[in-house]
Amino acid sequence: MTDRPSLRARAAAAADDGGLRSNLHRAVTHREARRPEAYAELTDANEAHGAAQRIRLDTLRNLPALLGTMADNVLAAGGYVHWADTGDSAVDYVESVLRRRNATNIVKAKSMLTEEIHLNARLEQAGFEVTETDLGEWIVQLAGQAPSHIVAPAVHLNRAEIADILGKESAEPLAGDVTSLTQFARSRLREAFLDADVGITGVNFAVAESGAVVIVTNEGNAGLTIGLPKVHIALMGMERIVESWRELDVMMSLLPRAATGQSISTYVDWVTGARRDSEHDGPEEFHLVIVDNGRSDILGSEYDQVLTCIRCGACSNVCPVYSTIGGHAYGSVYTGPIGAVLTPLLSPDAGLNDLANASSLCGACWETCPVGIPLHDLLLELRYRESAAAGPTERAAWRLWSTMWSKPSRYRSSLSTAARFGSVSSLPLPGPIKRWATGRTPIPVANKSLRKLWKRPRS
Amino acid sequence: MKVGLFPTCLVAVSAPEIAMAARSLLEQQGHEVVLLEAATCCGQPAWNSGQRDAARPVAAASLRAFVDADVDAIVIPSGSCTAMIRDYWPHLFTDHATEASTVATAVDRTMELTEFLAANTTEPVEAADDTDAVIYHPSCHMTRLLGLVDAPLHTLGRSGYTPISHNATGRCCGFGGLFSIKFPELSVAMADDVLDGMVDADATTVTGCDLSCLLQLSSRAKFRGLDLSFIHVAQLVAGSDPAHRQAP
Repeated sequence: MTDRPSLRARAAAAADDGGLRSNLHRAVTHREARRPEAYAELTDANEAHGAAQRIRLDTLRNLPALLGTMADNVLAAGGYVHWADTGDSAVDYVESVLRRRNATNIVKAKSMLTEEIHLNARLEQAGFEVTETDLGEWIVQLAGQAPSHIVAPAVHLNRAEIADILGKESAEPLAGDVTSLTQFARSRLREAFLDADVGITGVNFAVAESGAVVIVTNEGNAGLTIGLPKVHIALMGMERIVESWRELDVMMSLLPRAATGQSISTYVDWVTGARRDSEHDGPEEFHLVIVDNGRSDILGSEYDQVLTCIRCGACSNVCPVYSTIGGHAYGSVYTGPIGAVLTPLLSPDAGLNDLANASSLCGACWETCPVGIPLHDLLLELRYRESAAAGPTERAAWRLWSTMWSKPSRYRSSLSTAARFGSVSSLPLPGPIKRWATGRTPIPVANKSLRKLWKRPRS
Repeated sequence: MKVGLFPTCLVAVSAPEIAMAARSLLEQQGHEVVLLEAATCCGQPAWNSGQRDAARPVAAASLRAFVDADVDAIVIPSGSCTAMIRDYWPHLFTDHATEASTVATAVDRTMELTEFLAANTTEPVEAADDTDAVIYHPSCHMTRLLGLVDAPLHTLGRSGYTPISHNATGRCCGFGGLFSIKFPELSVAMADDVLDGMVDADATTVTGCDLSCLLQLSSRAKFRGLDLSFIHVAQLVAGSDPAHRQAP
């Protein structure tokens, strides 16, 4: 972890990567362009956001009861429930199911939670063959990369780069057009589905009243992951739950609109328990793994609104930082504004707490968030939390500034000094002011004081 | 009305003529304007850095100046500083009895310049035949935190300026206070996205309600040698000499 370049260096390198920036720009523009039309279909978008926010906040207040109902209903539908306090507990449980079923081949539908708990790496280490079946996720898996966006894992890549990655997998030369590439992916992934012993998915929403889990895709890969293998394991963050289909309806009216500018995703799969005797398809076994992994520490804290997130990724799309540097520069599983908040909360020991600084606090994330999470305010709270960890030099600098500028007379004399030297560098401002000179002309300093100007007789 | 002008630290340091322009606009509306000399800074640099204990005494000094001033309103030529005061001062002083008892009154009297100007005029926007196109940069705190979208447009429109947008309008300039020096390369790249949009627009004068954003953009534009000039809304509307437009 210590050999990771600084956040400034990572951001600078990404901002300087013209190819990356053009890929991001194209993808983000495309996504953003579709959103207004999808939102225009709603009677009142603000009202919808308000309703969704209330549902999510109510969910947090009733979380223990909702999870209890959910678990009861999964059990009643013939499923199994595992409560995982930690990521390791979740992975261990998955591994135990795989071993009991003598499974070797696993297909997965895209799930950020499984990224969070590093499920693939752990399963591969244990000798299992894991195939991601979301096209973007498969591409980054083949490239040995991490997803760079919560919803669009390969958003940092362009078609030529993707053709290179897929070309290495193909026995025959692969044409670089979209149809050839997707046909290749389709044929390869179809084999993986047919060979799979177990399918693993995430959960977009669990519906407590019926014990169903809802999974949203545009490629139909979740349906095959759920339906073809004999075992389905669904992993959910403990906060990803609604009380009933009525609340789900509100959330589903917003998730695809916010995420990809679609009225509805191409596929919405929901599954309740294992296959019943009267049913023709579906898994023999259904397991729901409910993962805490730090969430209950957030619940009830000043940060708990972050748990209302529905992982639409809209905050990344509108974020001027994300759209300049992409996801990998964050160095975290969750990227963009939500990642800058979640990472220091879920993984405070990962050495990434400075992500809270990776924002100009412009508020675009908050403005677009379908559940109204004040991400800029949560970043400020995190910066306050992290301020205790500031070094002695920085703290001394802030104390000096505070002393100088909390007395009008000292403040005025510091302004006179700056005017005399003609530079803001002589102000008692903390921080490496000389870095302003990176690509910018100096900040002008007035040589006349405002007090004098103010008192000057006017014509 | 008797108005106290809080110039903000950045205006006092870098462009006091913005405060002078604000004063003359307020006087044109018939207000008596006093300079809140004892107000220093809203505390935002420290607040945004999580240094609340450093921010509090500085904000408290300014709050005291607000409270002590015998004025009907406090006007600030900055959306960002106004947002700091309105949105965050109550939070900053929550557990500090002395300030907590006065902060609400002070905050209620505090307005951003164009917000105050628009609220205190009954004259309709004149449909001038001959208007100058200017690029209006809506600063983030002004727009998103204060929700002030129409007031600056109103102020510009009344003075015969047509604010025009470009394909990066609404994007952050990349300043973000200390963000601009913690992540200088990223900050500059963000400025470039906005500047590239401005270069493609049908005007070369850029105006806005926050000196901080204008400085970020103008410092980068000058570095790149772009044909854009930057001027604070107060100066533009008060009819500053165009020769002064180079440095806001």
